[in-house]
Order: sequence, then C-alpha cells, then structure tokens
Amino acid sequence: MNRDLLLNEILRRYNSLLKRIIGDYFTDSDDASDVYQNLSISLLNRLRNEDDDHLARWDTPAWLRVVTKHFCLDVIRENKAKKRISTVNYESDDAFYAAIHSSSKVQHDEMNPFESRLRVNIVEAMSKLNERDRRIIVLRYFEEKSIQAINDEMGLTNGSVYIERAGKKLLKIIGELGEHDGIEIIDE
Amino acid sequence: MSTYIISDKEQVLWIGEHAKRVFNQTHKSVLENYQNHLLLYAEDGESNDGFMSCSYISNVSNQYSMDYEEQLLNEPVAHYLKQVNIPSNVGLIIGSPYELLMKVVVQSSHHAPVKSKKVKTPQLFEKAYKMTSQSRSTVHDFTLKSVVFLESNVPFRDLKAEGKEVIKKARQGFSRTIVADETLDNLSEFLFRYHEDHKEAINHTNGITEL
Repeated sequence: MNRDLLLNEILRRYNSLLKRIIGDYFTDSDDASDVYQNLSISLLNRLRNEDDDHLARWDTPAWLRVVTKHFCLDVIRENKAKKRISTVNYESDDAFYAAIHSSSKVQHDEMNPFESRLRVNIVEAMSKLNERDRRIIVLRYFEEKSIQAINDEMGLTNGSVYIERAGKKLLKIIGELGEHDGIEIIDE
Repeated sequence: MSTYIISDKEQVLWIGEHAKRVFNQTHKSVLENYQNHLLLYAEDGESNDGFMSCSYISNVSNQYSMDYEEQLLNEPVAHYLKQVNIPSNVGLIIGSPYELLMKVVVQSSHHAPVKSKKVKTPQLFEKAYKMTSQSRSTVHDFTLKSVVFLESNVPFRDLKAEGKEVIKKARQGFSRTIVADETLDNLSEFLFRYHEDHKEAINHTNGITEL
C-alpha cells in the first residue's frame, strides 16, 4: 500500500477525530475546513518523508493527534505573525507583501513543516527589525536589487556594510525564534 | 447494487483501494479469465473498466450509516456479500489486510462461538434466541474460498498488529490464506497460473506464499 492509499485509509478512519481536534482550535467552520485541507497535504508530506522507524513507534491515532495539534498551533502562529506585520507601515508595502506572501519560490502547499515554521519566523523577525534594516532586506533579498541600486534608493554610500549588518540582525532574530522549534541557523 | 450473471469463469472479489490499484496493474488478458467484482467504500470518480460489477458500500446509505467504522460497516458488507452470493459464486477474494473494509469481510467469515446463557423465563429465552439468530445471519461461509492478502509496508504499529490479526482470522475462515509479497505490484503471473492450477500457482509464483 503506497503512502497515498495509506493516508486515504487513515483519513477515513480518523476523520471525526481530526475534525474534533481542529474544531478545538478553530471555531469558524470555514477556517476549520481550510485547515483540514491543508492538514491532509501536510500529513501526506510527513508520511512520505518521515523515517519508517520513527513512525513504527506510534499508534496511528496518537501520531495524528500530535501532528494535528502542532499543525493547528503553527497556523495560529502564522496568522498572528501576519496580523502583526499588517499593522506596520512600510514605504513600499506592496513590495514587502509580494515578497513575503507571493514571490516565495516555495508555495505553501509544497512546504514541509520545517519550511513552514521557518517562514513564519522570517516574517516575525522582519517585524522586529527597524524600518531601515527591513527596507534594506526587502530591496536586497526579496526584490534582488544590486548594491548600487540600494545605495541610490536609500541614499547610502556603502550599502554592502548596511546589508551585511541588517542580514546579521535578521539571522540573529530568526535563530532566537528558531531555538524554540529546534531550528538552527548556520551562518556561512 | 448490481445483479450478477453466473458464468463458468471463476469469480474474483477485489476489495478496497489497494486491490483496485493492483487490479489496474495486472495484465488484462489474465484478468479476462475471471469475472471480476470490485467492492469499494465510496466512489472515487475514477473509471472502473474491466470489472463486471462495482459496488460502493456508502451507496447503501439509505439503510446504513456511511461512516467508515468497523461496527457500521458490518451490516452493509454482509448485505453485499449476500448479494454476490459468496458461497456459490466467488472463489477468490483479494484485498489489503490494512483496509477496514477487507477486515470486515474477513471477520464475517469468522464463526465466533455463541455463548449460551441459562435463562429462567420464556421471554428472556426468546430474546436471547433472536439475538443469536441475528448474529449468525451476518456470518458467511468462506470455507471453500481462498483469500489473497496484498502485503505492504505499513509504518504504524497498531495497523501492523491489526493486519496480522486479520490474516490470522482468515486462516480460521478460509480454505486457503495466501499472501502476496509487498514487492508484487500486480498479480498477472499468479492469476495466470491460478486459472490453470491453484496449487501450482501458489507453489511456483515468486512472491506468493500460502500460510
């Protein structure tokens, strides 16, 4: 039985369990329905990628409970981070949102839970930078502008120093946020 | 549910999604030697060409609950098995031991011993008798049938244990319990030989083991 068929079987068996757990976190039925759909994709990715020896230690309902709870908490955190970002004024809001939400090379559905958490942390870390550093990061890493273009736009003479400094600050914050999730940032 | 035409061809009952996938990968010319019936839990929107009949348990929802739970599947499965007339028609049943639908089919072959109770009043006795009759009515006689379990690597320990238990129960209810190795993605060779000689097919097909 391949993993698609296995997931199909598991979802049928434990459909009401999953819906009950999601219902504990999301009272709005539309939200709960969206979460259920995304959870199915996440479960399939996990079934495909997680080590068999690891899964063999679990009973199916226990594994589903843990994964579903973590997934719900991740969605809640992501929603909170989005809300926080949306309250900050940017000179170029469009560029920032486009960068964060749309221009990402990895679509949300294709993300594994690690990527999904990391993405939440990046959004959160960006909100903690001062406005100049945030603008530099957006221009350099999301809009992929040259150092000269950034110098011109921001009125800097040595943009590379500012870019390096802002990048280090961002990584430091992401590292701190990631400690909780077991994500380690390696500064190459 | 469909009605079935009796023919000389041996009838094979494919149960569940995994069985359907294996059927689709099995050579058509081999499958033509059999009358193939498919039983699924719910319609999946895919075509089921090649099957003489295809039935969905959830379609019996007028009479039974559609939930995918063992206890709720018992009655509709029993109803279906009665329709296909297992004792006289179907010779071979194929499915995954990890699918609930297959588990329920196998369990309906299992004759649980009826516990007798001493009852003092005629009313109580009558009640007990009715209950016994009802439980017997869902049991089917598979003693002349063979079952093929499609083995596969299932990671969770509860599903592994459940699969083992299903196979163990089948050994008590079926004349032959056969396991197809997880490396077999189709049953072409086995079914080709089985058509000619059952024993030969079991003994000389790679990846096929009789328990």
